[in-house]
Amino acid sequence: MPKPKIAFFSFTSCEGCQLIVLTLEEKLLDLLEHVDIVHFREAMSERSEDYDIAFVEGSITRQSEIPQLEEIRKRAKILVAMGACATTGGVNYLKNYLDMEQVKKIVYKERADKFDTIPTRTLEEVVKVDYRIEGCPIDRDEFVEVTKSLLLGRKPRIPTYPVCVECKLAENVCVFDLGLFCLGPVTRAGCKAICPTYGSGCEGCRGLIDDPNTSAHLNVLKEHGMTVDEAIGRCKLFLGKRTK
Amino acid sequence: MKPQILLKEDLPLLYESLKKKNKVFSVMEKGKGKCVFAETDTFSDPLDAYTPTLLPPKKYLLPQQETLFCFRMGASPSVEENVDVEPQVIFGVRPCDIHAISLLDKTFSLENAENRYLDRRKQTIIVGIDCLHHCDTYSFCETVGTLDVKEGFDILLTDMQSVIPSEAKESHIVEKFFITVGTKKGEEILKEFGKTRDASDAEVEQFNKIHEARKRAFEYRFKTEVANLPLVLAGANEDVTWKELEEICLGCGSCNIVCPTCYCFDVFDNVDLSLNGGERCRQWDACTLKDFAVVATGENFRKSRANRLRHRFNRKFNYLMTKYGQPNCVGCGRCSKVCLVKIDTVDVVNRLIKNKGIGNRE
Amino acid sequence: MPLYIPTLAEIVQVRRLTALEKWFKIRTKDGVSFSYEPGQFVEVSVFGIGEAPISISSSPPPLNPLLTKEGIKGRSTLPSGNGTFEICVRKVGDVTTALHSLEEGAIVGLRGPFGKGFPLSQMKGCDLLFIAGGLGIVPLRSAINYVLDRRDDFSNITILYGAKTPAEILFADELFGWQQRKDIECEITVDKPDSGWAGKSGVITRLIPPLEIDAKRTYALIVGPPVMYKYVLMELGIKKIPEAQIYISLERRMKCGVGKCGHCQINSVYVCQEGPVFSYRTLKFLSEAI
Repeated sequence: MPKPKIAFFSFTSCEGCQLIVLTLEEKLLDLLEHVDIVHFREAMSERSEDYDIAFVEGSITRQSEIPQLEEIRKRAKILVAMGACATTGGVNYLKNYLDMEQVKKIVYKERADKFDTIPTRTLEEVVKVDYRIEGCPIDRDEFVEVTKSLLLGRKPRIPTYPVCVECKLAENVCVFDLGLFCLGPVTRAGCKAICPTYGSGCEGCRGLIDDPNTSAHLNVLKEHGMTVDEAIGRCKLFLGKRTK
Repeated sequence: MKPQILLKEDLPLLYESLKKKNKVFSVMEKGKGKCVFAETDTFSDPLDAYTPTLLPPKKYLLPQQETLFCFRMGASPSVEENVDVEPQVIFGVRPCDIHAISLLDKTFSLENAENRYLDRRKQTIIVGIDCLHHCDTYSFCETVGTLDVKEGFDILLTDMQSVIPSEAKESHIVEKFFITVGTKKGEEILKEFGKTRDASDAEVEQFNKIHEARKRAFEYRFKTEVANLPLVLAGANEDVTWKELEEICLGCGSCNIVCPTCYCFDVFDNVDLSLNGGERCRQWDACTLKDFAVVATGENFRKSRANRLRHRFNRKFNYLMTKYGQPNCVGCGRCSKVCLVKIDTVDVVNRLIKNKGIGNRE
Repeated sequence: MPLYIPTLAEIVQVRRLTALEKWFKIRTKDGVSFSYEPGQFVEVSVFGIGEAPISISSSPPPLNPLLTKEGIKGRSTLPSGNGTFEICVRKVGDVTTALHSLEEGAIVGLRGPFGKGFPLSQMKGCDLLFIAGGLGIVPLRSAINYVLDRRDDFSNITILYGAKTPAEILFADELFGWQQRKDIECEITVDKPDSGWAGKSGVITRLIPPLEIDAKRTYALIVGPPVMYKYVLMELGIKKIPEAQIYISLERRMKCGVGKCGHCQINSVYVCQEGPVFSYRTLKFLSEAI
């Protein structure tokens, strides 16, 4: 059986998720035994338009990106949205709280007219996405799990529970006890609670769990001294799409 | 073996002597007064760590994740059992956690005994440390009958002191441990250690007095006798309390994860990067999480957070309690302590008792 | 005994039944004995993908084949014996999808059989009413063939089967064969008939009211999707079949099969230990059962 061909693509993002893939080092070499990477701008110069699996990072923020993504969808048998920008809009979603003309002026100043911008869209808002790898940036092991699962023909095992589970497993002192705020109770796990483990509260980069009790969580934030506006501001960073 | 006396200053020596042949896990401070069990290089005094550890010592008997067996894939697959048991000591286990381990022992030895757990258990030495005062506001060990511990440990240390009067100078205090020997293994450990002596009759009497006196420091917290709880829970399926909890429960699973008696697990295959083989693993799971009761066709038999929480309370005070004749809760209070929305186990149980109108205790 | 380590077993025969379901005949390797009762389940592993609980669909061979010659004549497949059994698998999850990709000769992992099946021996001499909805025929087929192999031991036998469409009818040959038999009643209905369908249409519950049932001496054995139970139980209630004589098989995600992992638990009951077959009298008191 020929090896599946894999391609990496990037839209509006910092391309940090591609970098995470490169930092897999030996594991990446092991994976390469089973696949051919045919398109990976951050790692190689050759390119091919013939691929089976497309890993796509970044969100869609310009009109011109839409046909590009549609073309990738057409060619790829499996399309994986990779990283918060692609799955939830990520930090890019912040601009959706503003008027687009205003956004252009803030970013490009007097050259604003020369640039095209549209409200941020997740990949799923443009094309069908088969799998999602959440996070800003993505978790290395989760990338490996998804890739392995695709090769084995099974659903990747990705947590549906909140960060609290992994944080308790890591035996962290709850960051609320440290006087910090945390979105862990409503945020999808899979990051091994890396932020609380290193002493800061969860920012929600992996998106909300499927059935978050956001009102109970808001009460927790309030009880620990956060105002509603502050809480909303905090959630806007990554959970924008789902914050009311 | 008769009860023994160990001078407190010799406790580090006991720790060192256990380390010669075993991996030793003891209690370490993790910050903000919170402690964890960890493999320690040097002696850490279990007396310094009074509140229950973040995770219970269960993790050394039922690891968070473990390999059940290894397999090769492909046309002619094979399986091979994975055995990774080595002698270990859990040093400084509180009575509540000792009771919890005894409950796990029941779970894994009665009906379909699980050798994996039992082998590890056999290789585990438990050095218990008695509680003389109430550790924090969340615990309710006296209520569920786990303050006194008679078995489940190899040796149990009780903090004692005696005042030696002296005519020549000021009388001085001797800090010591009264050691209850629970098993043959415990006896062997102490014999090999050789630095303990038989407790005198006076010391036995002093130990009994301490135990009698400490009861006053622990209050009974349920509003009915523990024995009534299966009835309370069985009749409380439609209690309004669950509806109220539905609103506030985050469904975050924390109460399950920190629980010393929870043992439910998930099973999955972890394939190595060769894609030719891998291992079947199990991992702690939690019945309060959304997907716990989902079946292959997608149906979820406990969709609401309230139903999942109700299931958890029933496991503790009804289902497993009926099966084993004692609550499947040891009153450590970890669940109440970690709950961000302050769902307190004692409070929930008392609300059910009150709503049922059978409260008969203050 | 290692609780979680599967033995190896070979897929000796595969047949596609419908677009979604395949039938497999499985034989234990190295002569490992395998005996089971109708209604029990096994845990099947496809290594690297995982393990899933699957109902046994065949029936254990009669102890004395001479006594049941008549029964066997009327069957399209012989009872499975000598370490072999049959399963029927709908492609719904990872393991079942992987099973569908396997061919004859492939090796899978096997644990079990687990659980308690239908208490058929206590039903001897009684009337039996089998009600199967969709995939429910899979475990029920085991009990039906068991009973047909021992036809003389039982009184009237009625089989009701409902599928969504004619194309989704499972074990069609056997069902149509049962319809031909003079010594049993067998009714098949489909929710959505197509142009080629000459049989009954409509939901399965409609087949119950016309039946003449001697409630006291009738046992009902029901397997189907959760939604079916409520209505079928209502109809059986009207027929006054005692709750203790109604048996239902439940679907749960038994991950360990040995009463440890907690996933299949309904109230205080571990389905993998005390089920998957329960009498309605027991189930009635389990609040999250159906």
